[in-house]
Amino acid sequence: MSYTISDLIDAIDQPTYFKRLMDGHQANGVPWKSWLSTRNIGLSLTQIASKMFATLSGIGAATMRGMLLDYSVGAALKLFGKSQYQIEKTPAAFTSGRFIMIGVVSAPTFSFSAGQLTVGTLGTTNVRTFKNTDAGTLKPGTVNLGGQNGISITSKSGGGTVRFIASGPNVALSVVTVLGGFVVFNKTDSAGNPISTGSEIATAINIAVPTLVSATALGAGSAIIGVTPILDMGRGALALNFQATSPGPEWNLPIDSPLVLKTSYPGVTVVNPEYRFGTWIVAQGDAEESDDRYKLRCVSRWGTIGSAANEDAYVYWALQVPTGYQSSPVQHVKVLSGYWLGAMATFPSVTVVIAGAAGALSTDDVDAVSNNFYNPNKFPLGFQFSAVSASNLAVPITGTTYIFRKSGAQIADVQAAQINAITAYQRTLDIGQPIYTVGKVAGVLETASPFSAAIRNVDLSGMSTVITPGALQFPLLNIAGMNYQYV
Amino acid sequence: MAATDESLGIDYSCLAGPDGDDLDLTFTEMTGPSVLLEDAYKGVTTPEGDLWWAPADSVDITAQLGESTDAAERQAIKSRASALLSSDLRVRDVGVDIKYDSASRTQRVTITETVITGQKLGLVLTAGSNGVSVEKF
Repeated sequence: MSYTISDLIDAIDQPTYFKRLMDGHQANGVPWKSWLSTRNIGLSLTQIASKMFATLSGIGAATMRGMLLDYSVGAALKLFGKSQYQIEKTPAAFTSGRFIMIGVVSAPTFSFSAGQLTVGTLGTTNVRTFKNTDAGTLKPGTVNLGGQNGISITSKSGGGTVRFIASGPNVALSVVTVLGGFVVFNKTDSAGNPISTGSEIATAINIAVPTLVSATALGAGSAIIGVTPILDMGRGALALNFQATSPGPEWNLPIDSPLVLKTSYPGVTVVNPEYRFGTWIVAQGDAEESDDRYKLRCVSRWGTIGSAANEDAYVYWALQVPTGYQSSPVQHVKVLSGYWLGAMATFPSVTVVIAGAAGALSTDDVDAVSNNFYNPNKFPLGFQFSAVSASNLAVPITGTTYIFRKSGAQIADVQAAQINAITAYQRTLDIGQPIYTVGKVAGVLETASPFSAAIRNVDLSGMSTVITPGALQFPLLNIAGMNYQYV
Repeated sequence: MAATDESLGIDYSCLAGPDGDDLDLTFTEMTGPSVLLEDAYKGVTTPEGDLWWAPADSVDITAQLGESTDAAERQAIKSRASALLSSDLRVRDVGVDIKYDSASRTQRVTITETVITGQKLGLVLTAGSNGVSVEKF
């Protein structure tokens, strides 16, 4: 008897074995037609035997699948990948980033220790919660940013506003007064990302607006301050780092998501505005590496042993866990051959575009991933190599969600469920992937679990039907601008 | 039509061996009223769901009987066993009786069946702290 690969990897189930055994009984003259009860011993033995055979078949098939990369899954795949490719599966990662606590003028001073605060999304189902990982003080008249090595700005009048912005690439640090306060133009890198530290900004503020505020660098003053919305110094503001209470990409919330303090303090509210790179997130959360991504890394490793790196090899090194990291921040990779600094090149060159589960990566992450390609060089002699982060393309989703009033669903719950649904959909997106608003996003929002029956429809007809990012852009969806209406 | 031995089905005994509680490993074909008696025994001593191909076709009444079982509970167990055994098309009627013997601290379950041939069969299960014993009559 000859076997095909399907015979080896496809388990035979119990009903199939039972039928085979009964056919055998028939052929062998077993009087099965006289088994008149479901409790008959012959019937019972045949059922039990068929179940045992099915179990053995399942074990055999799982074993065979475990030894074939294309068919291997779960624990067997982990063992196979580790033994045959010397590659470990990447564990799950926690989302962390910056939230800003905002007080009220009349509030007392609150001192928060690490772990004291819990912030979560709205609603009662699928709530995503975060805990602060550093300490700080929220005091009316004072804005504290950047944590223990950041900056503290105290208003001399007890009021006024301050805002930090990044206004384009290669901008120098400056402080400009505006009506009611002042604006700090962060120093930026060539990609337009803010890079000013707490001590640099404190010095600049004290020179530029000494009559309005007094600024002090905290600790070493080495923390990068990033950008902020307009902050009312009279109310006080405190930026703290928060970490998700569970690992996974579902905690990679969009900026300006509705958030509440689960540990309540009178008058204190919390927001998650952009910090750097278009997001509040410093470290992106991710699930344990999927079987498919792990297989891609295993397969692409073959490319690394060629005489010159091919596309697989670039993918492999891009997905490699960087030195000093627990897991790779890279979730998406595009290898652009003959492409250099945003344009087609006339010389041998390769640009690897990378993005995380929630889009653009920080320059620190890009540098770390880029180091995977050096010492020794993983690209051929005479080639120019560059690893760059995809840039985030903000895609604000605007429209109206119509909710059946008689469903009893609360708007906050529906909104929270839709944020979860859009965050899950976000995970499936790739660099440069077009976004079909009416054709896809509306469906994602309409079927937000568990409110699909409560949502009559989602109207996104005011948006373009398709939004097409550039080749280096990662679409970042945000539904903060959605309206909700009962019908 | 007069019922022949095989008209009540063919089975293998599970009340064989020196203690009368083993599977007959000779797999000698068993016919006649014994088929029904042993079928009733299996029906009331196999936990519900164990026969995954017919999960409602058995119930272990001996596990449900204890010293603290009251009259109402005994009545419920009797009804369940009686309904189970009465559903057999080979049986005309079924009687189930449960009595607690305080002297021996055992539950005595008496099952009587009238086969479609008119023959009467009986089975007594005695459930106590030492397990379950069976006698046919």
